[in-house]
Amino acid sequence: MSYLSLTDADREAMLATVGVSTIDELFADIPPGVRFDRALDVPPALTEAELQRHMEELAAKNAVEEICFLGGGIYDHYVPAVVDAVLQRGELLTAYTPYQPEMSQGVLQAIFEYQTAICELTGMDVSNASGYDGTTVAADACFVAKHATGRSKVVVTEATSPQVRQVVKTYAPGFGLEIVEVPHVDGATDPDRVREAAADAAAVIFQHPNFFGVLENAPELAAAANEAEAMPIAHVDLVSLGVLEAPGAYGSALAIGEGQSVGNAMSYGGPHYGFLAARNDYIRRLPGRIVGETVDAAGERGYVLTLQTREQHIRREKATSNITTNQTLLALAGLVHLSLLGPQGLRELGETCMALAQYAKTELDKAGLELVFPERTTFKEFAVRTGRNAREALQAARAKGVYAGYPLGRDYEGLDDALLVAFTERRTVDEIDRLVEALR
Amino acid sequence: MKLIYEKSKSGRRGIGIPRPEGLAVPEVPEELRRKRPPRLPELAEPEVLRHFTELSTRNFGIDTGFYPLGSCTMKYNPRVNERLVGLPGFARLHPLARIPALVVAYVARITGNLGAVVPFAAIAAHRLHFAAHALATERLTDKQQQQQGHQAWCQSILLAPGAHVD
Repeated sequence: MSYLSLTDADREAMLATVGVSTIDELFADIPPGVRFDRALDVPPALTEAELQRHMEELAAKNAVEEICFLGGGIYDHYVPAVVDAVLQRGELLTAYTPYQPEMSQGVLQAIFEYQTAICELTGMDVSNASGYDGTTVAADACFVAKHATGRSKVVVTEATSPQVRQVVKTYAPGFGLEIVEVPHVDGATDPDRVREAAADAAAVIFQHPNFFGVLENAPELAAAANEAEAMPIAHVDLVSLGVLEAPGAYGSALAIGEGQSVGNAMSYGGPHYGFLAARNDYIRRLPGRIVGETVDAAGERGYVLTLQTREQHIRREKATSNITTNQTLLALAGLVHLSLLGPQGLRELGETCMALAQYAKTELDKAGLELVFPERTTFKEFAVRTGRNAREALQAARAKGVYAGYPLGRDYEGLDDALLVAFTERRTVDEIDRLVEALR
Repeated sequence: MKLIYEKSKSGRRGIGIPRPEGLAVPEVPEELRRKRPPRLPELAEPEVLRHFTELSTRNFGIDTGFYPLGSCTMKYNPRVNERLVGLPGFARLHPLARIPALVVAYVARITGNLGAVVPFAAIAAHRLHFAAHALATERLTDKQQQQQGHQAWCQSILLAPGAHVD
């Protein structure tokens, strides 16, 4: 494989033009003590065919033929072929960040359409061009809330994804934030406890459906935050928003989440994209890029990066945005998938996941396995007790070709026997029967 | 060029969703149920493909031509990489699955090769982005400063913008 177009003759001609005889002479100004003076100790380059074979061998050793019931924020949803076809268009795949709108109208319009879709789904007024993933957008949201309210406490529900909470806690010292967690009660969050914790808080972050798959009483959680004048931040799953109410409709100030569910493969965790949308009140504090519609000199509609005075290359330390790139290509994958689904498809997607999860609950119950939170309504995943250490149950199920879920004991006390089990439209009734058999 | 929403026509569908026969969809409590459907575009599959193909023709990338901008990674990414990361053995791996030994071995190999270029005692390969590297470095130096005082902390950590070696 060669990615360089220069021939030896080209190099000689260039060296002759600048008046040196070897390439090494170009580096003469670098003191010998810091110059790299030996061959790189790396294996020789493979040809493309050899590389393909090597990677295929590695890939084949990863056990992806197991039936996947893992969820917890990343899901085995179907990615339509059209998504891949669009992403392989070289003009989009190899585009730079759209600083020059004259040569970037395609990407700018795509981002504008993505932002529109996110606003429609979340019921918000403005969306950024995407963030890194579902965890970093939560940290970004804390930063918005601190500046908007002048307060430095952030309340996070314990039923919010452990990864999201961990990233928020990692960012917190740099932002000068204190993080307070509100425990769950039987798998859901008590609005009264949120109300109590939210006094003097900048924001309340709650996940809905939460990490256990349970539908929170989201309108009451948002109301509890609003009563304390803390900003309600809903962490939501795009796939749920065909059947579940939009966060903007129940008083959330911000809506955030992981976008992988829509348009992206699981890929062992990334790269993916996060989304962040807000009410208009917060538009000037929003991190990340925002694309707006405008009119050019000829009166033609066009798209540009807008509100850039928020950004670090304009305002330096006063910037409210320090994200100059984003996950455009992956967010574009989300937009293509959403465009194929439409409102009806998105609703049916949510309903199918719910129907399969309900079937699984019924069958697991028949097989004598208990739900951890039997009274709660869930969306596409739920927690089930395996009757023994969940890791052992997981190993036993894997021996039968089923990856049965995520052991909740890793993150929550008292749940060492529980697995979090997820259901997407890619699962079938037969596969769920195999899950039940494997856990029995 | 029209927005995709302006091409939408009520009732058109781009993709079907499996509907398992005989399974009931559980009720969502009234107060949590979506009241107004999101106004996503409604188009058939070829229309979606044409829309985004047309958008691509209104864009410039490395495949289109030379892009002499050095601040970010305007370098050629081998096309075979796209195919390889799409192999089911990689694309269908869930991040919460127990770490397959092969992933560990491969990361070890990559960092080993990087170690030949940048000879440090240890190299961590992040999966995320340069901002995560920067934050991790800031936290590491902060910790080291607390533990060892100002003299020691600045000697040992090199940052590489991940985009250039992704």
